[in-house]
Amino acid sequence: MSFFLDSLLAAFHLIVGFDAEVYLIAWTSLKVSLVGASLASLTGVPLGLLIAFTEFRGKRGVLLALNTLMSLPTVVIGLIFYGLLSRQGPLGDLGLLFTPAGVSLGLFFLALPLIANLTIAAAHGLDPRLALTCRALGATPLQQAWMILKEARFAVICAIAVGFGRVISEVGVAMMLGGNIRGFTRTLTTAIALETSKGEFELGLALGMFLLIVAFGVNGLLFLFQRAK
Amino acid sequence: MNAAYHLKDVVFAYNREPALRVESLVIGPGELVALYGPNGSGKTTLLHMLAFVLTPQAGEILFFREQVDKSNLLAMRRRIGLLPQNPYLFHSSVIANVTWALRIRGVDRSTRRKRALQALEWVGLPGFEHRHARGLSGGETQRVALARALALEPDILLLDEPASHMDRSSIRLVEEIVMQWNRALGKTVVFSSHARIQEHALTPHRTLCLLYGRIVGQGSENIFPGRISDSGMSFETEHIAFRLSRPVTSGDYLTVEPSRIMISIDIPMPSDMVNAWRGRIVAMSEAGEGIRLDVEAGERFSVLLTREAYDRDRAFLGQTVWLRVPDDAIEVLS
Repeated sequence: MSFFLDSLLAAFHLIVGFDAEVYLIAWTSLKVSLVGASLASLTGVPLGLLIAFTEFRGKRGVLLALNTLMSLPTVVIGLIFYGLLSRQGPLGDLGLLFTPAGVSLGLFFLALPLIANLTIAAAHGLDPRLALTCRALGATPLQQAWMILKEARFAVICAIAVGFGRVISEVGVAMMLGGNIRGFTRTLTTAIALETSKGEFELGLALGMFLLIVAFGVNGLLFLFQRAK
Repeated sequence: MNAAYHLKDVVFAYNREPALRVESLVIGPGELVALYGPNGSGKTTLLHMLAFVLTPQAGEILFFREQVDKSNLLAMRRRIGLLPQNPYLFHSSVIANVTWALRIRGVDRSTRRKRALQALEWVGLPGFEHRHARGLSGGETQRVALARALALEPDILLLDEPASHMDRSSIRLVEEIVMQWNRALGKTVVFSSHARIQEHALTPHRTLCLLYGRIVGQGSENIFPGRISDSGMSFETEHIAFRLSRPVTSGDYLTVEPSRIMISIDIPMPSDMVNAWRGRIVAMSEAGEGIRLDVEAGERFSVLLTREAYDRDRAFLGQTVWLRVPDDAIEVLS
C-alpha cells in the first residue's frame, strides 16, 4: 500500500512540477487524438445522418459492417495500417509510418465507425415528425440535415465524446503506427506501457493520471458546449 | 379553370397497402373545404399530399395549373402552410420556431421578427416569443405551430384536425383566424376533422367525406357506422336498424342523403313504416337556400328542407316529428 501511495505522490509531483517529458507526451497524445477524433467526427456525423435518412440497396450490410468495425481490436487496425503505410505498402510513399500524422490516420479509422454508428442511433431516436416538419416548412435537404443535426445535438456530442474517449485511451494503433518514439510519437498510453515494463511505476502512474485529466478536460468542454447550445 | 388543386387518379400506399385513392378532386382558389371522416380514413394522407410532403405513387397533381414534379416541388411546398395534427416544435424558443422557415427562405432579420410577432398575436400568444417551445401546453404548441404556418403568408392553409388538442376558447380563436384568412384574404383553406362539421363554427364551402381512403361524398352528414345483419337485408347502427331494399354482402358505414329524408308530423301509414322513426327536432339552421334540421331519432339525422317545405310544415325546435328514409337515399359503404 505504501508503494502505491509513494508512487501516487511521486506522480503528483511530476505533474505539479511541470515535468517536461510528461507534458510533451500529454501534448502529443492530445494532438494525435484531437486530429483523429475531429476528422472522424467531420466524416462520421454526416455519414451517419446520410445512412440513417436514405434508403439504398445494401443498407443492412453497411450497418452490419459498421457494427462489426466498432468492435475491431485496435491492434488489428494498427496492423492493417502498418501494412498500408510501411515502405513496401501501397501508401508507403507518403512517409506516414512512425509519424503523428500516421497515428492520427489510424485513430481516425478507429473512431469513424463508432461515431457514424452512434450518429445513426441518434438519428433513429429522433421524433419522426421532425423530418416531416422540416419538409413541410420548405427546407432544402441541406437545411433539413442541419436542423436534424441541431435537434440531435445532445446525442451527437455524446457520440463525439465516446469517439474521443476511444482514441485517447487506445494503445494498439499508437504503438504500431507511432513506434513509441520519444519526443515525437510517444503518447500517454504507449508511454504508460513502456514505463511500467521498465519498472518506472511513478511515471506510468503520473501519465495515467494525466490521461484522466485530459479526457476529463475535453469531455468537460464538450459538455459545456452541449449546455451552451 | 384556375383551380388551386386538381388531383387526377392519385394513389398513395404505405408499404403497398393503399391508403388513398382519389379519382378526381378540384379545389378552387379561395375555397374553404372541410375533410370529414373517421380516424384512418385518409384525411392526413390527403392533406400531406396537398402539402407536397407525400408524393403519390400514381396520378398527377396540378397546383394552380402547374404540374408538380421534382423540379418545382420545393417552390410549391413553400407556398403552403401546414398545421399537422400533432405538431413538432424544435428544441428552441417560440420565436426561433416561428422564424426558422422564414430564415431558410432568406427573409431578413427584422421582417422575420415582425412577421413572427404578428403571427403570435393572431394566435393569441403575444409575449410568448422567448418561452421555450418544449415548455408549452398541447394547445399552445398547436397555436405556435399555426403561427409558424401563418407567418409564411402561404397561398394555401392546410389544417389537420386543428381542434384536437385545444380547449374551447382556443378552438374558437383558430376558427376565427381561419375564417378571416379565407374570407378577408381570399386564401384557400382545407381542414380536416373527425367530428361532425356542424360542431365547428366554421362554415365550409364544401365538405368532403373520406372513408377507407376514398372520397365517398360531398357532405359529412348522416354517416352511421354499423354492421350488416339479417342475411344482408338490414344494417344495424348502435341504436337503430335500417331495412335494405336489396341484400348487401359487406358494409361498415351507411349514409343517408339529407335532402331525401322526409319529415311529417302525422304518423305514417303502416305501409310506409319501413325506415321510419319518431324523433325530435334538436337544432335548426340556415343552409344555403334551404333549412337544416337536426333530428334526434335514435341516431342524430341531418335533414335538409327546401324553404317551401319548411314553410309548409312549419317545423319548430323541440317538435316531435316522423322521419322517413326512402330506399334510394340509403347507401352502404364498405
